[in-house]
Amino acid sequence: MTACGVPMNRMIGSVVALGLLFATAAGARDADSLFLVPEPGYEWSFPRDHTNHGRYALEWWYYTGHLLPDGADAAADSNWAHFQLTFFRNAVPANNAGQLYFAHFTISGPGMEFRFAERIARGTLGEAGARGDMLHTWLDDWRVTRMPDGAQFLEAHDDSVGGLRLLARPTFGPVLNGDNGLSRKGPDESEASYYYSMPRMNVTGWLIPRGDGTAPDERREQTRAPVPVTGSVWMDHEFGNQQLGEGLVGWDWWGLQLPGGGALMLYRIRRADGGAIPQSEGTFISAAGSRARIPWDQFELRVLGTWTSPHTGVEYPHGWVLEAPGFVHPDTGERGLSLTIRPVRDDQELRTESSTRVTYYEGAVTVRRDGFDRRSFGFVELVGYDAEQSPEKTRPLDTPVTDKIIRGDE
Amino acid sequence: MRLLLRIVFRGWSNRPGRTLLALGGIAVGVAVLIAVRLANHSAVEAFARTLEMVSGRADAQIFAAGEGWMDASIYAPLSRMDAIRTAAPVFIVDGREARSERRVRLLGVDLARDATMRPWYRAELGGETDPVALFSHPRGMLVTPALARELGVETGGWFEFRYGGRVDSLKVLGLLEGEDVAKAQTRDVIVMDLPRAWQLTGRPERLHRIDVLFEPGVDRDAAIEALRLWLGDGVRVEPSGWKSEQAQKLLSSFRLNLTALAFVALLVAGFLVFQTVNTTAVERRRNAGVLRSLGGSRRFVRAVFYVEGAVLGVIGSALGIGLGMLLARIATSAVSRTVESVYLLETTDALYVTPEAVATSFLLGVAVSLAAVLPVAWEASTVPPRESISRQVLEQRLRGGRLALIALALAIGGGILTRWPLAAHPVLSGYAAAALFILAGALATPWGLTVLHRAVTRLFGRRLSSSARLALGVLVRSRHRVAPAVAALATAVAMWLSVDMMVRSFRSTVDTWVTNTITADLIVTSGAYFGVGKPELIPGEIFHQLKRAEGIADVDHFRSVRVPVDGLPTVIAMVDMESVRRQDRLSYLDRDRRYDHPADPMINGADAALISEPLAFRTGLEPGDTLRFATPSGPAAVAVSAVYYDYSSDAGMILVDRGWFIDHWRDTRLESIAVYLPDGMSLAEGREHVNAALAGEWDLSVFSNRDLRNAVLRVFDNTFAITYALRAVAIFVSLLAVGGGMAALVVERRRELAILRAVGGSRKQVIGRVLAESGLIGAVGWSLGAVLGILLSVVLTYVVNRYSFGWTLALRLPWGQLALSGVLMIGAALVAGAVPARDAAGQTIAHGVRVDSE
Repeated sequence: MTACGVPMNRMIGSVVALGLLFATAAGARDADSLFLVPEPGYEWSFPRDHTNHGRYALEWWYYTGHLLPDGADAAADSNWAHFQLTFFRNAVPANNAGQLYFAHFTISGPGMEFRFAERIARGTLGEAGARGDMLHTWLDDWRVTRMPDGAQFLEAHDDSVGGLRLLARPTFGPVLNGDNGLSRKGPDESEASYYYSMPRMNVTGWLIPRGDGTAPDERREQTRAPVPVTGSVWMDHEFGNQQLGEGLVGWDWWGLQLPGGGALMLYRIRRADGGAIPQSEGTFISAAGSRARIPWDQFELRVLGTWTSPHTGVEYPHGWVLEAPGFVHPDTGERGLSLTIRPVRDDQELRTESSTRVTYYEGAVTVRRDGFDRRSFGFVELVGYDAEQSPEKTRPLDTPVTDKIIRGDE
Repeated sequence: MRLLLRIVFRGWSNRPGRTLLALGGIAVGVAVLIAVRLANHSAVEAFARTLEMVSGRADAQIFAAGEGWMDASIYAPLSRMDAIRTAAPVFIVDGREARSERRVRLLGVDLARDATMRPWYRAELGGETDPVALFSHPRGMLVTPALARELGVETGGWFEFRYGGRVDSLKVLGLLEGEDVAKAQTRDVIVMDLPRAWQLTGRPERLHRIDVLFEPGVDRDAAIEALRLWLGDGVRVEPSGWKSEQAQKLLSSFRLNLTALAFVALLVAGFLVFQTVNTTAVERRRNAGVLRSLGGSRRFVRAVFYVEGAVLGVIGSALGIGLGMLLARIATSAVSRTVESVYLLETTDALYVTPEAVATSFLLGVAVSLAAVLPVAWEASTVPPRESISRQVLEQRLRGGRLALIALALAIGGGILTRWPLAAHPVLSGYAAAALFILAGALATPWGLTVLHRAVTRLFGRRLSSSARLALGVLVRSRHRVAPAVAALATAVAMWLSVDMMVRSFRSTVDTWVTNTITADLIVTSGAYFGVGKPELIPGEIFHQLKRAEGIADVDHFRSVRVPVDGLPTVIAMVDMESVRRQDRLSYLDRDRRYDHPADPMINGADAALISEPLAFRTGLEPGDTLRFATPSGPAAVAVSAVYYDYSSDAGMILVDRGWFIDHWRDTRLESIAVYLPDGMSLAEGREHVNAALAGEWDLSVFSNRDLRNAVLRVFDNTFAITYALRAVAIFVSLLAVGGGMAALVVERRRELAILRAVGGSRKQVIGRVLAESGLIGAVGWSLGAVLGILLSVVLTYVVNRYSFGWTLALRLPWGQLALSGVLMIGAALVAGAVPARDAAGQTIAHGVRVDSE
């Protein structure tokens, strides 16, 4: 059930999702008191914390992964499929009006160009929701469910994108980002979220090739024979009350599985002047699951090129060299980290007009690491490059712009 | 061609008055036809567009069988189906705006899903509006701009919504916008966030409809079939647009009836044209003779008449278009009132003009005009040139014997159609029969005049005064000119009488029915009910409150839904069968003799029902048979316990018991509650008891029996307002015809009248002569019309009505109307004759005598 290109969706999307992604600090939520603000000292408990946190206004479950059809040569990049499946939960910021759920889904490769689908739902009729007693988050027929043995079952299908049914098994426990899972998103203490990652889950399952969208059912069924795949998935789970503080325009995020095992999560939150706020940081996770926080100032980032979207004209950085000379491996004591990151294909831009209405780049990248022959994969997320969507141009949630405004106050 | 037109226009300029009459007749006929067709079209179009707006772009609709509700849990599995692109849930509450009492339908929708389905929401919202507020305000809603305008509410203002015995204030958060809303001209829809609507009404987890949009490439019919299989029996899945089709079906008889009446008006206009052309023809015959002597071909002579007919038709019809547009407005509101009150379909009185309806009415006007000219043209062109110079010849040629034979054949045809209507088109057969009778009447008029003359002469012989004899002679001799006026008059009288008879019988039947059925002393309904359409539902607990109340003898209730039976939406009504038995107010056509009382099996909990006569007629069901239909809980089969008389629904009605209905519909809400007071208690006292029992908890109206009966009859009269109007138009046109005919007759006989003066006749005598003739024409036309009217009544009663509405009415002759029409028609003929008579009497004798040889 896609809901594409429709004004109402766009309008819900524009405000709510901009709220979700760009909500400004001042008065963003008139119902602040209803929702908790992330604070230090949270007591984590799994699997409980995989589930829904309804007392926080915003929450998302982010899955990105890389899949290889059984029997295909892993060395050839073109044999790999990459996907993103994300569920957003957003409490409507007024009068206990319930939730809005969004979901984004992309697949690219092998042999399939990058495509995305998006959905939106209220969840009033059980068509979308997130349970608080177990990890079960769904929107129509897209869902993630945690099995009793700890494996997570991911399922999504869309005619134009294709589909997947995957069982993902963690290789080690959740890794808390930031300070005990409290991840700062701005200069103000309150600008933070709870955030953990499960960067390397092994998956087995099926990739369902996309139908061409016009073929009658019978023919579609034939072309849709599921392809058995194996691979790995990165899960991010984040919840909190708000995202970006004032004067901040967007962020870059990297979730990289590293050659030789281990992974690196890194984000930088950009100011309007292009610089990153000092609270930006990374988390290094070793193959064994040990963790090391790396402050942003320990990284040197060099952009290798740019790519301009033919769809939106937005220019994104495209390829990076990332170096952290002062980095110390938490297990081995080894020093220094040098990575070359390149998108696996140019066009991996999502234009989510029907749900979050944010144009962003969420793409698979190859990761090469000095001292290792084999490349690995990761994902990069680039948000806030569309000048049209900068927070300065986006009206805060409760400020009337015209007299025609529809308002909820009495 | 120019010569033709010049001849035609010369004829007209000689007789401007008569030409105007003919033009007026055609114009009125065409106008009425246009008005009725546009009104018919608009009622259905408004319904369809409202529906289209409300159902949006859906490919299919899922709803509970029998207007019930579905459990909301049906939705989530649907939303996961591959073939479904979007499924938009809809929750419906019918109510009224409390101040204006305007009917308003509240739709609870899921805004996240609805936008794909219904482009109602402001298109350019990005950055302008805070959409979150749409579902953030607990009483917030969106309203159509038209409704906001008419009620004078603005964004941010409040809207009093009355429903289910309650009034709630809703806050106007904004306007619904978009092309569809404007196109639909719907004023009665407000939209609320689904969970908010549930909260407001306290009816969570219910849905009335789910609109479904399939993925592109999905075979719609196959997907609908799959959904039907999958969802089972309590739920219906229909392609979108099915409701319009149902409405068309439901309204088809009503629309056909109106159209047929409009045709009669046009037919009367046809006689008027015939008459005009015929009189000019007589005057022109000499021209025609001259033309032919000079070598003009017969074709040329005929062409003169065709051109005249065509020009009359075109100009008259063109005038008719303008007039028709004006009339259409009035007709549309009358028709939409009927559609709403009788057929319970939501519509608006917006006028939708279809060029096609206008164009065909125009062409029909021209065609009728041409057809009216045909016999004249044929006659004029076949007269040998020499004969045509003399005027008397035609009278001799047209004895009417051959025409009478044709008329007889037509009448027999009409009779056959009446007795054995075509199975596929019974109603159409009825109208065809009516048309044949009317034509036969017209064709038989000359013969009838001859017969009348002979009969009168033979009967009274010498006893007749000379002037009477002369008048009779004139009638017979000029019958070719008199005949159209008489025929027009007769047709109008026939229509008058037959329509009146039908409406009267209908009304008295309804009256009897209402009086017998509504035996309750007081009726309790939702806040504002004027007897139009369905009242808003009230909670079932009120019934129990009243049942327990002191000072009340008995309580019954009514609630109806519609389910398709044999493809037509049929009313199922929930009543209290014990009360039906106690009050014993129904009369039964046929019943299952095994039971003491027809209500017994229902009281004993059997799957049984009472069905009304129209339903029994339509389905052929008899007591003991099994009737099957769908309910929200799956298919049901009930035994027919009896067939009862009922005239409230032409699709028929099924009465079931309260318990049975609630089991199947899971809904206890009611439309009305009937309260019976103990003997001797006054209405005022009863009202006090009712009010005390309700303790001011609800917003309800308490009607007395008489209030309600009057309300029902008022609705009935509204419904037939358009019929009366059509009848008035036909009478008006026929009066034009009488006037025209009289004028023609007098003008033509100026010489004769002049001679009468010359041989010593006084002015008074001349006027007396003319008046006697006029009166005679009126009387003959009226008598013929009365006979024809009775024939038509038979057709209307036994064919049209029976097959249109499914019930028979007692054929009652409207004696009063018969007398009234006689007085009016003869009086009109006298008045119409008086003016030309004065002229004729006043002319100089010498001039008058010269007429024929000038």
